[in-house]
Amino acid sequence: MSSIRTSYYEGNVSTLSRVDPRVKLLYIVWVFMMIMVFTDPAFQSFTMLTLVLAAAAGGLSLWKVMSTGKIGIYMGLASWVLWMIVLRNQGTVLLNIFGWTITDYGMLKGLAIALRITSVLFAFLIVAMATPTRDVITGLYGLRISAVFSMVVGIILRLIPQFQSEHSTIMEAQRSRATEFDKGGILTRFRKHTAYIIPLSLRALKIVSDLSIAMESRAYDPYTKRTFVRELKMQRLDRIILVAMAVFLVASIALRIIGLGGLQLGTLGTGQ
Amino acid sequence: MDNRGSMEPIVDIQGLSYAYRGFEDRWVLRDISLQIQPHEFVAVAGRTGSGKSTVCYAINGLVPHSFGGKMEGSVTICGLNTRETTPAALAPKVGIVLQSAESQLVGLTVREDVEFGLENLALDREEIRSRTDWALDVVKLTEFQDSSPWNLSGGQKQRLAIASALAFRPELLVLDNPTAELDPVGKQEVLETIAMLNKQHGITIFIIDQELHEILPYANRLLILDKGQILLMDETEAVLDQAELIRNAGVKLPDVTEVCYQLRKRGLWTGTLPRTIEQARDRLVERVNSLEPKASPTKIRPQAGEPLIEMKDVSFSYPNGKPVLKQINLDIDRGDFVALMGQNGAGKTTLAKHMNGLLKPSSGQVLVEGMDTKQESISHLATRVGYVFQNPDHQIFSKTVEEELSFGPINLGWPADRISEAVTKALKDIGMEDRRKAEPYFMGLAERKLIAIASILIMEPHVLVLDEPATGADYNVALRIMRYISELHQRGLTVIIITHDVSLAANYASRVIAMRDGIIQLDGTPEEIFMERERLWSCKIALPEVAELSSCLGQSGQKHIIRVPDMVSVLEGA
Repeated sequence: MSSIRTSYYEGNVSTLSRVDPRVKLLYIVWVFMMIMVFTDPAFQSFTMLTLVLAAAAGGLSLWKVMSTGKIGIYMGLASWVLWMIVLRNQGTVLLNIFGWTITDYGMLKGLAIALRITSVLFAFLIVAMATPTRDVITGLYGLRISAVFSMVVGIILRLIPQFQSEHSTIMEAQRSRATEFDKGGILTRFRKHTAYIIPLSLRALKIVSDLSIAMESRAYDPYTKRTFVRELKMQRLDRIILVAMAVFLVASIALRIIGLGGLQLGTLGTGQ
Repeated sequence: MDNRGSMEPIVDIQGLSYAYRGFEDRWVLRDISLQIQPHEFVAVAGRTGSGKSTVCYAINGLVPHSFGGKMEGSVTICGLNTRETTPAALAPKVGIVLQSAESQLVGLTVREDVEFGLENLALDREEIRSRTDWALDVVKLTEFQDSSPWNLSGGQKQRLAIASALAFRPELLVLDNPTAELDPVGKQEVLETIAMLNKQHGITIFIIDQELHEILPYANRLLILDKGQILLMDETEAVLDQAELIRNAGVKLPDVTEVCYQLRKRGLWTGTLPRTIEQARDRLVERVNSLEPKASPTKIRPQAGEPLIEMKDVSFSYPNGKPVLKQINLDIDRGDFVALMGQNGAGKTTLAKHMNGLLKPSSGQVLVEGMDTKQESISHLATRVGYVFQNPDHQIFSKTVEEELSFGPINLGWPADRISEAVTKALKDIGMEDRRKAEPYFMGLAERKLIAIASILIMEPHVLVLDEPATGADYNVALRIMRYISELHQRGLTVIIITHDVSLAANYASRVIAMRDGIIQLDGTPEEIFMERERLWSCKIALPEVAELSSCLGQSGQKHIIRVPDMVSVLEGA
């Protein structure tokens, strides 16, 4: 029996794991805001660099982070390609592949959107991989986020790996019925995929229902006061990170206001 | 001494009737009245759907607060009326442990899981830490406190669920079939923990358990539920004496009780039926000594056919590098009925998944009818080796039984008329000709399991592998499923079942394979294997109760017997 992963948390004791969970959660918000401020990938790359630094501070290998978040990479790549196709008639032509033109505008605009999609996902992943789930929930409470929302986030983090395990079992059960998910036309494939989507959905309902019974039986009530065994206390490092994030955010907004950080392409200068 | 009535009852249920929300015209409980005194140990049994779990939910207030529905009568727990007290407010009085240990895991470490409930009570941090230490110590999980609960064994997970309930310092512990999904070692761990809580800490126990022979040694009273009503409730011996009623309620009698009940029906046993071997031994030894010695009945393993599956030096490791199978050499022959046994993690399921190509060996070779599984697709192998998963809900997805059964043949590209013919035959086989258009997901467990089996069999495999076919099913359901499998075997199908149930292995299998740590430790007929008490125990497999009884009688010259009907025929001198 392979052991079941129940959390993204990697369990490394690292600089990032010691950072107050509230600061780490604010970092995700910061990444979102920073990546939205700029539309030029060159400026966005600074935010991406902080992700690399965060992963290093968390003692996480980049390969592991990318492999865990590969769905984000696929989505980013798909988005990049789509934008290049959509904007094939705008900007300077860089390449021509079998009659499809690729322009500088399409390429850079697509890249900027792709970075927006992937950066927030990877910020979340890096934080989740360096923070016990309970600390994430405690951090959300500490940020005065609604108790229900905080617990829902915690439960989702707790359930995703369990659903992955269920998914793997269901796929095996259906493969044992001669199901080849990667063969056949679109309709055939769609029908084949219902063979795991339906059981997985029904299992998910059962798992969630059982968990809610277990939680309620253990006196869980989202609307009453509860204690957290983990005490939150801001350290010097936490304050430094908060100040640095604030400074960079303000500076970035200022740069954008004075006209830097928008997409600048030859004569295009759209700044969109 | 029966001192009920001399104290304030800890549980006082009066005229309880209940119907779930959305099904208000369908009573699940009907006029239940019962009282439980402090420090009692009450065991509860009954068929699936008899209302056992609903009684548990009524005791901890989930009924009616969380489930809604229609409730009549009253439930008073430790003096608190559950209509007026929420489950959260009742939690410090009543702890509940559910059947599936995994569904109760909230925390991501063992310690977190226990602390979760105490945090909800808003206790101060010191109190939470101290109670958590105590609860983990009581269930002997302190050394695992920083581990992920998901990496514990089944028994440890269930002990963790008990610790999480125990941390509330409840007066009453309600356990809903806590050992149903555990291997024999896990069952023993959990039952001993529960018995200790009752004896040493004075906690009142209300436990559902279908395996009477496991629970009765600890229980003071036995409650049998049937169709939402109390069928029997009394001291355990008195209830057990109503053997016919218990069997009719879908509950399996302990083997020793069953043997004596059968003798009583033949006029060969008088007085109360025993609940343990010790209670029956002297009288049965006396009876054996009065009989002329005869050869014991033995189930002969049929002449082996040609090998259908050959495993040569098969080793397997998961990506984390942990070796699961080590140098396995095994032939499964045509006509075999194999019971694959061993504790959780012994490698049984991994071994079985090599038989239809779901897993490929890290080294060595698996041949299915001469084909190397490394070279063949799973869909091709599915026509040779069918694999039925433990939970039918992992398999079933169609709107109708007919569509469900057709799915495999469609994948195999069969023509429509052949599919239609095969579906009709499969429906007839499982006795569901009139349910062709019924929705399988809303059927009972027995029907869903049968549909899952039929949906594999329809692809006409030569070997059928079933992972825990009877687990979670009550006695009648298990009997129905096993009779069907046995019939298939009689018709020539080679069958492999993965099971923890020694009684099932003794009664149906012609060959038992016991595994430990990825190695086959024992391989032989049930008669041979169930004589190897020590070696079996090293694989964490207990002897069937009849085999234990036979060992006792063996001192009186009897040979080894492992099945109830054989024991009865020997004792009646047939």
